[in-house]
Amino acid sequence: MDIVCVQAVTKDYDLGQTKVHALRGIDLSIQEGEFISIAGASGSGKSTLLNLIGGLDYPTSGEIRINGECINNLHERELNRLRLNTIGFIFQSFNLIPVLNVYENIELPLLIMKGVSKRERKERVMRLIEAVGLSRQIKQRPSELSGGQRQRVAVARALVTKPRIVLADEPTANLDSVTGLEIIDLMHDINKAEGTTFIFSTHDEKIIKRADRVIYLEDGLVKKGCPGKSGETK
Amino acid sequence: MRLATLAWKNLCVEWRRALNVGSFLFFAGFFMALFTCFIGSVKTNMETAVINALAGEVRLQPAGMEKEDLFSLSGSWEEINYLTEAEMERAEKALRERINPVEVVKRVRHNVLFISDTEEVGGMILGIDPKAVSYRKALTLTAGRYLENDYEVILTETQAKNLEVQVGDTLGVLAQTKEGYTVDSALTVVGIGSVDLLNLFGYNVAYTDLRSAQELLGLTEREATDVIIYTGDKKRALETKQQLAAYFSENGLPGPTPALTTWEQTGGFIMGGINFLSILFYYFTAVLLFIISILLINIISMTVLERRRENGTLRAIGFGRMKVAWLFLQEIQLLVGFFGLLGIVAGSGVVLSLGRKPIEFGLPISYLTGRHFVFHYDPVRVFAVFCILYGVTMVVAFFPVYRATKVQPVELLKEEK
Repeated sequence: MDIVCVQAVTKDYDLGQTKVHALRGIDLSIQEGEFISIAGASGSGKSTLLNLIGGLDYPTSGEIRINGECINNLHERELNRLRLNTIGFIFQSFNLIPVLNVYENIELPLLIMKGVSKRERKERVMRLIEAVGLSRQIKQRPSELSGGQRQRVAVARALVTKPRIVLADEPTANLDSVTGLEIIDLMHDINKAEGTTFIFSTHDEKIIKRADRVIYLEDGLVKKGCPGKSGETK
Repeated sequence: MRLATLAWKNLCVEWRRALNVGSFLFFAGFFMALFTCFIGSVKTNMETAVINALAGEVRLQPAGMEKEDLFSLSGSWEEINYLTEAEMERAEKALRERINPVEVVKRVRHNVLFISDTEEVGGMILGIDPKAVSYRKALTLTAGRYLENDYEVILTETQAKNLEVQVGDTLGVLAQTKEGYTVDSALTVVGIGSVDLLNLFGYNVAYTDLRSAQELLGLTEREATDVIIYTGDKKRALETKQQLAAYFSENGLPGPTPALTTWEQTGGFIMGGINFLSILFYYFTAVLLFIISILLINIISMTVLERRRENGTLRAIGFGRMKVAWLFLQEIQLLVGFFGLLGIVAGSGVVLSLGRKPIEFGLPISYLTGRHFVFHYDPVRVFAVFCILYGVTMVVAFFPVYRATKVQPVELLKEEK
């Protein structure tokens, strides 16, 4: 079964008298365990599509299914649950909580997750800190970390709830090329090891090459392909 | 880590922001504690003045006088109600057997005409035992001394001014006896003063010795118009009144049962005035609180706006709206709990240190405070102020916080770009 299925999705923004058509009818489906890049120029609709898949925003029309469940009409509380349990987010500007240290930032989503004991919380956080290579920075706050280290914390935070999907909106945009590739490789390693589906947006050709499949967006439309098998496959 | 840790860390790390809101809450707590103690002290001092100057905690007087306003000068010349010798005897027995008063003042009160060499002024005269203590606590002398002998009188400053008399002058007094004869007497002015805290209400009563007043009304030494009972605890006035009423009802009295009133009933229009003044003060406090609320809403709105990114991130990783709102409110709770309380403690400290000795005030403030204002610290009142400050802060903080969390997460995150 497709873990993500997007059917005829449009998204319009009203800017006063102007209406911006950010997405003009997107069809795509993503299998569990895929490592997918959504590529396209600025303004092509990459972030909008990720926000819709992540339940951060509602489509104007069309349908989005996550793990078979249509999320268009979900109540806010159910969307919160979906974001907490099924989806992890990685942001371009890291979006870490500045007052918390590495450990606490990663632990944060677990604090509101039901059924996770204190011990299990610690185990999960420590395992991820080790996996992203930040064991020595555990007590440091985001302001004391480099860009690459911050994004590693963000990756760990996205994974700590054991989500089935991780959405990363231009995760390398604020990093130098070497660090950006390191982050993508880290995500890829986790994808291979854990089977977590990764969907990340980028317009960096070097990063795009690391993806198993690429979906190109242009002016709010998928550039090539058809529903279910959109875009190019490596 | 617990969620409260995030609130705590936010305050510790972003201490400048915390200090901004906190200092505001500190001053709000400080001034509210100070102001509420001031209001409470004015009210308490005025009530004490009413009790000491005239009403006592409980008053016993002839039957049918319950509704009489003690401060009113509208009482007629002709109609004199007084406690007979038999009633006085029974009343004194009741006081001895049932309660243990601090002071009992047998009194004669009547409207008279004061006549000086140049003026004639109507007024109320109170005949009391010259050795009575309580009235001295309320009446501040500006010239002369308190009563010591028969045929002496203490006038208020207004009366002395209107009559153009000074200490040492002799004053003619014209009154009507219980039998309806008009008598005159000569009293020596031994003191001039005023009950400062009751000046606002036009309190203008001359004090003379009991015997002189009895003679003016044609009463015997055993008769009086009323008996004032001082228990030393105004909160027990009603209880004392009930005890006496029970005694009278069990033992019976010659003639109708005497009227018993507490100081609140006896105070008449002055008590109404004091209560009105308190309401006015509390209205100002409410306005102050309203202004504080508006400023607080603005400060918290700005704080929440600055933290849109944090709000959006929390929402994106699965925090519900109310969870995020609660996180912000926890910070406010810590701030009001610390800074608000600190302000209250500081305000209390100031009140306690100011309350050690009377503060001198001149006109026009002395109308409210008296010439020697004594600050009273009331912990219950101060605790209530803290609860109000806490409650108001949480309520007004809720609105900007709730409004901020109502925004879609995508909008909150977009703002940052």
